[in-house]
Amino acid sequence: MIGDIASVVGAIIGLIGFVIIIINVRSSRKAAMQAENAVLKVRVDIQRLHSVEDFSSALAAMTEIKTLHRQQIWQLLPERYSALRKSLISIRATTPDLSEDQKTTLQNAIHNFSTMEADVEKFLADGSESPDVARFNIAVSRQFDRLQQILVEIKQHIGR
Amino acid sequence: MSYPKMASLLKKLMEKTDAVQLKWEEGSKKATFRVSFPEYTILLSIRPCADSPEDDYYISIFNSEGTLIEETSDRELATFIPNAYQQMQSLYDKARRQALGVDKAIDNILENLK
Repeated sequence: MIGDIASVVGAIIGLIGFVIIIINVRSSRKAAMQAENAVLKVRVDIQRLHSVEDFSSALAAMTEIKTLHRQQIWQLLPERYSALRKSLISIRATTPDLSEDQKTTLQNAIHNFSTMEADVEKFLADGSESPDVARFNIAVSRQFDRLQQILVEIKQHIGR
Repeated sequence: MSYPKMASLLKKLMEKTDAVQLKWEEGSKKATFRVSFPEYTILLSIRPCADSPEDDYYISIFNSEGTLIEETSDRELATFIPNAYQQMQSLYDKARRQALGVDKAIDNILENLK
């Protein structure tokens, strides 16, 4: 009789112990997942901070390009367009969670500087049609405003 | 070049432009109009034709790095699309009007004249 009670009590204690172990395993798994999510979030934020830096450099490059247009220093421009284009391609590839609209804006800017580069290269090669400074700078300003808008949107996502 | 595919693309561009679902804008070069997608850009342009008084209409596709990957003219598409010249002329004109906001301007002026 006492032996039966002892074995039932033992079984109950074993079951309770098992349940406690399961609860502990679950809570530690949850804690591990929360820690993993936090690390992931920090990693994404760091990528966003890099993008902000890259965007700022790209915007500064665009301002410099506008000045070079005004001064008509065409020889320096193909290299600047090419560097800016590469920077924009890199931004598109590395910025996390860009929307389709933001990717379209970046594509538009990449195409814009690609055609400017081709036009200036052609002008330098054969002295044909001189690039239209006013038209070029209006186009650069338009791209500048749009990219700055994306920069603001990315900044707003940091830490959220 | 896949002309049937370019013909399909032209048709789709016409439909979407008519429905004002594409954001056409001026290109960096005069008389060019472009629309961009997340990975590609389409550019419409006109160029003088050596053996005809009429200009040729061109449609060009640029990839995600801004490199020209495909280009065709109404003249090349004429074998595959009936009235290719008229269709490309119409698309170019609609893209131009949308890019420059011509219809919006006229509507606004008409509103002010009421």
